[in-house]
Amino acid sequence: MRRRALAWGLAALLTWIVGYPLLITLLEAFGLPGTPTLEHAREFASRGDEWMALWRSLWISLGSVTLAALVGVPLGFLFERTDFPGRRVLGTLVILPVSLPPLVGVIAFLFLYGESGLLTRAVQGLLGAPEAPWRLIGPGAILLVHAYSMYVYFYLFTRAALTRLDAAVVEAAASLGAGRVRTLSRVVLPLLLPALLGAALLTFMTALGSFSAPYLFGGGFRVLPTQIVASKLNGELAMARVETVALALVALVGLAALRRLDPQRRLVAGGTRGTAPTRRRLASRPARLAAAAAGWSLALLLLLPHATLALISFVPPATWTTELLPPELGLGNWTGLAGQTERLRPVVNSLWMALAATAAALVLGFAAARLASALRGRVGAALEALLALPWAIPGTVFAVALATAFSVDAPALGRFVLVGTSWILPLAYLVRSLPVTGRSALAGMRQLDRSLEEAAASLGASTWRTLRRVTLPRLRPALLAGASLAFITALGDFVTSIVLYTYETRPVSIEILSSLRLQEIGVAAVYGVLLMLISAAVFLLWGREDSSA
Amino acid sequence: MSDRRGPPEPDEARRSAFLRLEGLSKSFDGEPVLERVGLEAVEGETLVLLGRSGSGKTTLLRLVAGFETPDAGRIVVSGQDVTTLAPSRRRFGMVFQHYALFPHLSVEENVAFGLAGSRRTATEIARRVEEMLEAVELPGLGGRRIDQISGGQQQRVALARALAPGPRVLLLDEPLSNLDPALRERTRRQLGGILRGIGITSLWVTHEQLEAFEVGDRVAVLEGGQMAQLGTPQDLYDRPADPFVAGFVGRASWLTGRLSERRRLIHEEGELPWTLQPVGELPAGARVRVLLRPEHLKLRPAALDGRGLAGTVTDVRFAGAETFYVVKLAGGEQLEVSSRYGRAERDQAVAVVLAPDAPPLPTFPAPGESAGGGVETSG
Repeated sequence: MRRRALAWGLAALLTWIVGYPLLITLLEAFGLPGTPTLEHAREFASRGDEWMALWRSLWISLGSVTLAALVGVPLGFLFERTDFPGRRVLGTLVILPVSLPPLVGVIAFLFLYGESGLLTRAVQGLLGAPEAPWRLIGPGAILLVHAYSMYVYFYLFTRAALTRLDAAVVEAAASLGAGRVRTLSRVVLPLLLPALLGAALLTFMTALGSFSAPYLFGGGFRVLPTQIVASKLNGELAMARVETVALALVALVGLAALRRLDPQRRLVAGGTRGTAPTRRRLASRPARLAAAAAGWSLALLLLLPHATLALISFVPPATWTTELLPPELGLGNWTGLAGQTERLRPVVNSLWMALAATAAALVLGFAAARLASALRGRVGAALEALLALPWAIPGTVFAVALATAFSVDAPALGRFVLVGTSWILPLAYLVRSLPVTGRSALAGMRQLDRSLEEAAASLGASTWRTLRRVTLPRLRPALLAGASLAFITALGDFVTSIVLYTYETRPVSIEILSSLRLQEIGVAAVYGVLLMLISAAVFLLWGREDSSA
Repeated sequence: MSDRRGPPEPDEARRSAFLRLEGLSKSFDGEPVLERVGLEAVEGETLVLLGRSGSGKTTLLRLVAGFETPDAGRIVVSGQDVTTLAPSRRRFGMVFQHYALFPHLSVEENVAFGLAGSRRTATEIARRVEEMLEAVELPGLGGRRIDQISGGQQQRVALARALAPGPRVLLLDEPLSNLDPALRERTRRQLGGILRGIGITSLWVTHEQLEAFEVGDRVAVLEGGQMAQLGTPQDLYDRPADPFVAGFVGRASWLTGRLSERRRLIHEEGELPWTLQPVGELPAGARVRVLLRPEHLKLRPAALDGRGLAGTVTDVRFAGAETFYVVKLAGGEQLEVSSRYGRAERDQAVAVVLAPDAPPLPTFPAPGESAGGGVETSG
């Protein structure tokens, strides 16, 4: 059957770019294909700093989950269950942090809360202290940045689960004599549990793979991803591979462990459908004002770093030294970007690489999802697994794996020298985008009424025409949402770029880093604002499935 | 109810006012949904709230349950005003339309949910749960998950869960609407039987007239947020308060004409020898319309004699136990006639006569005619 052959071909292609590099890295970590050796693994096990990095990765990730839940869940309840002026606008604003590139968030934090940050200077001036009252460094800073962006997962999952919650179930508890506390603890929270576990899983995996925050704020505090990059930059390639394998293992074990907590995944369906609980209108005027004030000041707090970033993009080089606020503002940084091709180059690079990777990820993801949902059996399962795998694996792992697999010229083994060429970054972005586009295509496909395609076929439409006139239009919102998220991720990518970039193909994130190193904070801010604007626009236009569906 | 002779016994007096709704009004966003609805339920009776969607019946039930607060009016249960009491403290049981069983709890845990605050020991709770599951004919299913039992079984678990804490009043919101028709009829009997067996005062919301008649000791018909009529099923069917109720609770055809001096209907073909039962004060000469149920009419061959209303059969619908004929009269009016044995064919000329056992025919002012027929009536 032609379709089955196509599916196996696609599975082979995906294996080559997703699974194969990981396998090669695993083998080379143990000396294969030469003489097998446990030397590097033994060295890894004997070094205290390696174990320390592993342990720190774990507790930072768990700490991020806890903090993100503490912020996100109450926020989800506030926005879903009560109504106050400005609720809709704020509800959208508070999800923006997750759509912005991690590196942008990190430098925005740096400019606001860092040693010479805006707020730090203000507090210092207020106290009349000779030096900054705090330093944005170490695990505290990492946790702060993580909580700041990752609460969004808990917020979104809580809201979605609350809208799915059958209002009658809550009323049933009340009619059986349960008060508010008992209804919350025995009915609402257990029913939210699958969603909360989902958010926890997402947060854990994101925090585990997080690179920008530990890299810029870690100082001597190394987690596995930063340890890997440090080893690689030191030329300890074998050690970097062992560390990569360790990080991949932690990710997979974490994934399995969190999946186990909800073994049956029975709650997602949640029995019969009813209507969603109605929003509680806050009746009294003071209560509404309080809720609105809380919501607005919260949004301000969340947007303050980005506003700071925007402000600093207008600070001319070397004009701001010890003053509380920048003494001069100008458009110099922006016009410099527009005028100099060398400055514009990273932007062009990032744009074309992200676009190419997204387009490829969209086609491959859709094709794999389409074939996986049409074909039962092993090939379907294999395709789904290949689509999901990069999601579970931290970006650093993929970067090292691709660097390992594609730095050798052995066409017979399917290995080519791509490192150092302009192919390697788009390929890395593509691999990282596959789970995003693939998953939204799969989800869209599952919601698609199969009888629509059957109706088209019974009306004489060819496979191609059915795809073009029925399937694709129905999947458009899901595909667009997946593609825009993939694009945003690729556009702002830092974690794989720092391992794989070449000077010619350097993306914006790398340029931001070198600007920071050269103390050109205005230039770094311009790049940051640019990434932020493009990401937010793409996300708000197409990234939210509900807005277009 | 009020025409009982002599003073009611004290016990009876208390019974008659077990659940009292007084002038309940509710509007959503300025749209009135209920307007001054009142009723009284006797202890142990099943009172059905019947109405179309949007009639306000579900809102009324939710006011009683406490999920909504009325804009005006009171809800009194055995002398206690519960109008503003939290739902969790009313001790009313509720069976929800989609059952609202807790999907994360087993059948047993669902039934036990309302027993937690009751100062019962674990063994007492277990015994009560077992007892309730037996009462709804589901013994031994306690350990099952909710998604492992059928819709009909879920229905009865919902009933067991609502009844377990021993509620004062049971509220049922379209309890059968989620079942397929075959199962619905069986469950209806079963449910009605269980309620009667326990003798609990129940408010049962439905939009199905058959269901209302079968399970209801009395039925309250709601329309446009107002109480159209409250009475026994027999009352509603034979003595509807207005044309809407007449049409809502059964098949109805109408014949329009004028009321004669002898309180008969003057139709185009002259005065008909039918006994009428005017609703409200209708003076002679008023334009009226008369309610005709299919079983009140009979068909005769047109040629037989001059009696009856002449017409032509335009439609024949065989419905098993009986056959329905639509007869178009010379004046264009259509009457529906039922017969147990097929007697006529389409396009056949027939005469329609009143069945000998037909009750007095409810007679209302014709559309456009005011109820008093122009004559002053004193309250």
